[in-house]
Amino acid sequence: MKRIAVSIATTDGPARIQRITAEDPEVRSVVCLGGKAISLPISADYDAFVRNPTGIIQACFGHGAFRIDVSRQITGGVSWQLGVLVAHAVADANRLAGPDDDAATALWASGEVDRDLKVGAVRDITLKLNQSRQAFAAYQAQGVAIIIAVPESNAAEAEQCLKDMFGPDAGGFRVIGVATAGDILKQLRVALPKRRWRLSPRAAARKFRRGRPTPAAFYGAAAALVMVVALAGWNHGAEQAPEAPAGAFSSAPLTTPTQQHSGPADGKQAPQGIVAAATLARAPKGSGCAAVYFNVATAVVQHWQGIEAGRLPAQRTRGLCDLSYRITNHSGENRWVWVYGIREDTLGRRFRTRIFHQGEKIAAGKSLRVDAGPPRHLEAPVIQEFAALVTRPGIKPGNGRLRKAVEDIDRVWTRADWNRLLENVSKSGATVYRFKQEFTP
Amino acid sequence: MRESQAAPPPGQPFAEAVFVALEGINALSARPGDEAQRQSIGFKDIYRFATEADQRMSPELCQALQSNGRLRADLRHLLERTTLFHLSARAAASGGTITTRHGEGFRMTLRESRAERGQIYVIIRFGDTVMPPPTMLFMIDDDSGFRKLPLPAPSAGAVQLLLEADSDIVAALRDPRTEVFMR
Repeated sequence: MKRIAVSIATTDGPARIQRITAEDPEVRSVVCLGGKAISLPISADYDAFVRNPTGIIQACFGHGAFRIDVSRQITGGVSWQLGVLVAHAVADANRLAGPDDDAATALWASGEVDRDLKVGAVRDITLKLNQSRQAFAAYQAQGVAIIIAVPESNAAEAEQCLKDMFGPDAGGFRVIGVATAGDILKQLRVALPKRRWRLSPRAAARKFRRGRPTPAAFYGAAAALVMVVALAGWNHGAEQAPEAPAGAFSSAPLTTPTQQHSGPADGKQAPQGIVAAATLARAPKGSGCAAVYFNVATAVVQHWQGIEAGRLPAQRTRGLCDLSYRITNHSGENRWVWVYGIREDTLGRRFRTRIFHQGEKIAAGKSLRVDAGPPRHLEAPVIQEFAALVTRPGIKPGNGRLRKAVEDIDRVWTRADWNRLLENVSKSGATVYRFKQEFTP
Repeated sequence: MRESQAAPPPGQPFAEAVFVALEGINALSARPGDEAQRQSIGFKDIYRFATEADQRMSPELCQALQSNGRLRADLRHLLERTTLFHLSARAAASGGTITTRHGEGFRMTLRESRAERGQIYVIIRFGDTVMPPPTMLFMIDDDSGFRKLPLPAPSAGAVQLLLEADSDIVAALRDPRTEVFMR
C-alpha cells in the first residue's frame, strides 16, 4: 500500500501529522506535540473543526473526538484545516504514513476549509515554502513525490516560489490549486469521506424534508434508510408490492419482474434485469464505529445480494457503521432511475421525504450506489421506505407523463400523497420498487 | 499597628476583609515558635497563592503550610470563601480508582487517552455557563498538602487537561479523599 505523509505548512516549517486517533467521545479533540501530553494552542479550534454542529470531521467520519499528534508546534491560524481534513481522509483509507513509515507521496498542504469543503486563500505561502526547503530536499533525496496543495488563488505564488527555490527544472513537485478538499483527495486517489455528501449544498437539498403537518424537531438528519433491495418480488404497481416476513433474505441475485423470471433466480445463473444488493457494516462487539473507520477494528460486514420482498428485518442503529445498497442494471439497455425515500415514526407521524437520485442513467452493466446510513442517534423507532423508480424498456426520462409524475415528489407531505405518487409513476412508464425497514435505537 | 490589623479599605473584597481580621487574631494568638515563620509567610502570601494564577507554591510557603496547622486552616478557609466550585473529600469506598467526580455545578471526568495509554484527559464540564469560568484548580489532600494547577480556557462549557497518568496530580484527582477547589 502506498502511504502518504501529510504535513501542515507553518511559518516555522512543516508540521508532519504523525497519527490520528479516535478518542473517547467525551474527550474534546486535541492536537498534541509528538505523542507528549502537550496540548497545542489550536486544540480548541480543532475541536470546533471536528465536532458537530460546527465541525466538518464528525459529519464526514461519524466520530466527534480525535487526537492528532504532529511533529511541530502549530500556534494559530486556520490554514491547518486543509491538511488536517485530508489527513483524516487518508487515515480513514489506512494510508497515513506514520513517523517510521516509508511514504510514497508527501503532501504539503495549506488552506482554510469551510463547511462545504471549499478551500479558502491563505497568507504566507512563500514563507511557509521557504521554511520547508529542508524537508523537501529530504523527500527528494528519498525519491518521494511531493504534492503541494494550496488554494487556487495561491497556486501561482507557490509555483513561482518553488521555481525560485529549486530552479525552473526542479522535479518531484506537483502544485495543485484546490477549490475544494475533494480536488486533492481525488489526486491522492483517496475516497471522499463516507458522509461528505451530507455537507455539500446539493446533498443538503436532498436531506429528508419535513412533512407539512408535522413540524416537530427531528434533527440529526442523516438520512436514513434502508438497506435494501432487490427485487424479484417487487411489483409493477406501487400499491401491490408484497411484504415478506422479516428475515426473508435471498442468497441469490434476483431480477426485476420486467424480465421473464417470475421468482428468485438461480444463484449460478447470470443476473438479468435490475439487480440490487445491500451491504451492512457493524462495529465488532466491544468496539465502536470510529474504530472501524480508522481501521483500529474490523467491521462485521453482511452482504445481501437480493431480498425477496419489500420489508427488511429491523436493525438497531447502535453500532451500525455503514449501510448502502447498489442497484445494477443487467437489462442490456440503458435505464433511468429516481430514488426517493420517506421516513416516519411507527405511529405514522413525523413524515419526511428525501430525494436521492433524480432521473439518473444507469448504463447497461453499470450500478448506482445509495448511501443508506440511518440516523446515528434515534430516540424512538423509525420506519424508512425507499422507492426506486426505474424506466421500463423504451421509456425515456423526458417522457411527459413520467416527468410530471415524478415532479410530484415536491408535493408529497403525507403517506397518502406518497402512495398516490408511486401509483401515478407506475402508470406512466416506470417500474416501482419499494422496500421498507424499521430502525430502533 | 500592624497593617493587617487596620480596617479594610472601602470596596475591599469580603474574603480579604475576613482574612485581614483572621491575620490579626492569628498574630495575637500565635505561639512564640511560630513567629519567625509567620513573619516570612503571612496572609498576603497565602492570599496571593489563592487568588493569583501565576503565583506558584514557593518552597517557603510549602514548608510553612506543612509545619503550621493554623496556616493550613487559614488557606483552606480562604479557598472555601473565594472559590466558585468545590469538590468535597470523600472516604475511599474501595481500592479502585475513580474516573468521575461530581461537584456542585460541575463534573470532573478522567479518561485514558487511546493514543497514549500513559496519558489522561481530565475533563471538567460545567453545568452553569453563566458563571465566569475558573482559571485555577486547587487540590488539598492529607499526604501532599496543597497544590495548584492553572486551567486553560473552557471550550463549549468544558475545561480539558492532558496529563501524564503517573503524575501526582492525576493520582490526587483520582483519590476521592482529595478536596478540589476551583476559582
